[in-house]
Amino acid sequence: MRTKAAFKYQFQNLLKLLGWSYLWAVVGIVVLPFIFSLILGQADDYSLSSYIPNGLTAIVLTIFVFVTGGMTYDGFKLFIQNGIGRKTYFRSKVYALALIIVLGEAINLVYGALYQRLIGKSGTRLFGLSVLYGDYFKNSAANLLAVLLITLLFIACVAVTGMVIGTILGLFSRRVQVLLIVGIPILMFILLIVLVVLNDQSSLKLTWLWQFLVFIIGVVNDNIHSGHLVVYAPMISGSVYIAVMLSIAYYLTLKLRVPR
Amino acid sequence: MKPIKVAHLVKQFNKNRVLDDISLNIQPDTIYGLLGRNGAGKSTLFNIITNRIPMSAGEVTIEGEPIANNDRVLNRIYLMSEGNLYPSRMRVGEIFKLTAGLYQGMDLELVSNLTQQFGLDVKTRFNKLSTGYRSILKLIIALSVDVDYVFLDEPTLGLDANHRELFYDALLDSYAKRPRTFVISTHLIEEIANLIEQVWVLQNGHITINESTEEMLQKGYAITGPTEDVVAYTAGLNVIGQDQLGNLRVNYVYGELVGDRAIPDTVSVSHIDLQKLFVNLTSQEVATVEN
Repeated sequence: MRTKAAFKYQFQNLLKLLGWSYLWAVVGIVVLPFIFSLILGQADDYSLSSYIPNGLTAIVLTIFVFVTGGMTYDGFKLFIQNGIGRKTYFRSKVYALALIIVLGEAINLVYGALYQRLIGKSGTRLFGLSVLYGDYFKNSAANLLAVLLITLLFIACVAVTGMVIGTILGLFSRRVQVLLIVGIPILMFILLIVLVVLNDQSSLKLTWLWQFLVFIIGVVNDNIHSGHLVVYAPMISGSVYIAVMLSIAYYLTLKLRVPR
Repeated sequence: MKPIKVAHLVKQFNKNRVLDDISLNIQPDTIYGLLGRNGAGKSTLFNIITNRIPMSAGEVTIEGEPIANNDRVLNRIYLMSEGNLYPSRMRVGEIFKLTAGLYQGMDLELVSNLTQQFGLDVKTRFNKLSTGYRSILKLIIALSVDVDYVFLDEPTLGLDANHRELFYDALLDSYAKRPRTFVISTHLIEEIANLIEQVWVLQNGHITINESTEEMLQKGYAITGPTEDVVAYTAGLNVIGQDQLGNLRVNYVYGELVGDRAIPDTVSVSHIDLQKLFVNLTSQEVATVEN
């Protein structure tokens, strides 16, 4: 089995890309506005706290795992060229992404703590999801752990969604890929409009779909008090979603071929 | 090391059956030549054996194990193909390093020597290499990587005569030092005729010839002389092609000549080279239609 060698390559590659992503995020969000303010002669008005967001690393990590999760075909063709089959490719990618998510979340924690101490205004929470789940338990450590776990699951859900989309695209030629990338958002937009119209006419909130959606994020008996949503609901629904999406991605990975 | 067994392999693209009931044993430590015209299915056969594309029916096994997603056996095979599967932004040196890490071993000394001999710059990014140098990069990997089976699909694509010569020498040298199986598919038949031990001819989805190079060359004849005498002498033989210049005719025969049939004084019999043999064997259908 070549899983170890495959994992090593994938992880190192992802780590390098993650570093570049953080760097570019800092350049785009902090450095460029500063340069613009310098050019416009408003350097005195520039304030780091007004430009740097609380969830900078979290946003970068979430986008990063979605994009790299979706980058399927290039990795597959490199591995098949090097005598490594689809199963090992899939396994090594999942392991590498999982480790990146854990590492990225650790960076989020450190960044969040530093932000709270140096920049944050009073009441700033360490995790964005604390607003929904941060007060479920009476013990603050348990709350921190629960929100940390839910955040990890949320990012993993984003990653596996990217993997499924990337693997579907990997099955098709460039031309079909472009058609799908352009066509599907248009269809989604139309669907959204239909849903909005439906919401006006028959109140989506009364349908089973709405009930289901709020249930899986932890709203039980219309209890939508901030910080008190049921923490077990997103844990279970997130785990189920990840399992289902990973199964789909695995099945589709076995269908990849080169040349397409 | 055991042979790769290809059994009743079928590959169909929509309604087009490219490979039809192919059965082969690829023996260890042998240099094969896979010959076929454009579109005959040579690359498809390679891609199936290396698990890049699925087969429609049949089986490919090594040591009784199917190759599909089987790292243990896939890691013993290297396919050098026309497709560029390495990351375009990766540097040549990084590609060597990566290959050494993903395969079970690589002769880095040989990599260094060949890189120098071919004049390949290890700092160049893959997408900046010319077609010829991309081929050279892949050839260096193919010769240096520790595998038992190397498949070379058009290995000399884009290579000038000097580099082709260098490659053939390196291949023979590498084979002598560490015998393993090479399967070479190329249209430059004359250039590999002296390298290959066994010949496969792929035609109309079938392996029509599976013989040693020596046996095959022994069976190929050019019968030259006045048309009437040549036609009379070759009557009933397996005439695979012909050339005509005025009254002078050459009939190409594949197979045994009739031992007790006297050769007329006006007719000469000689053996033909592999390329001429291949051209005539694979043009038979065209010749029949034209005639």
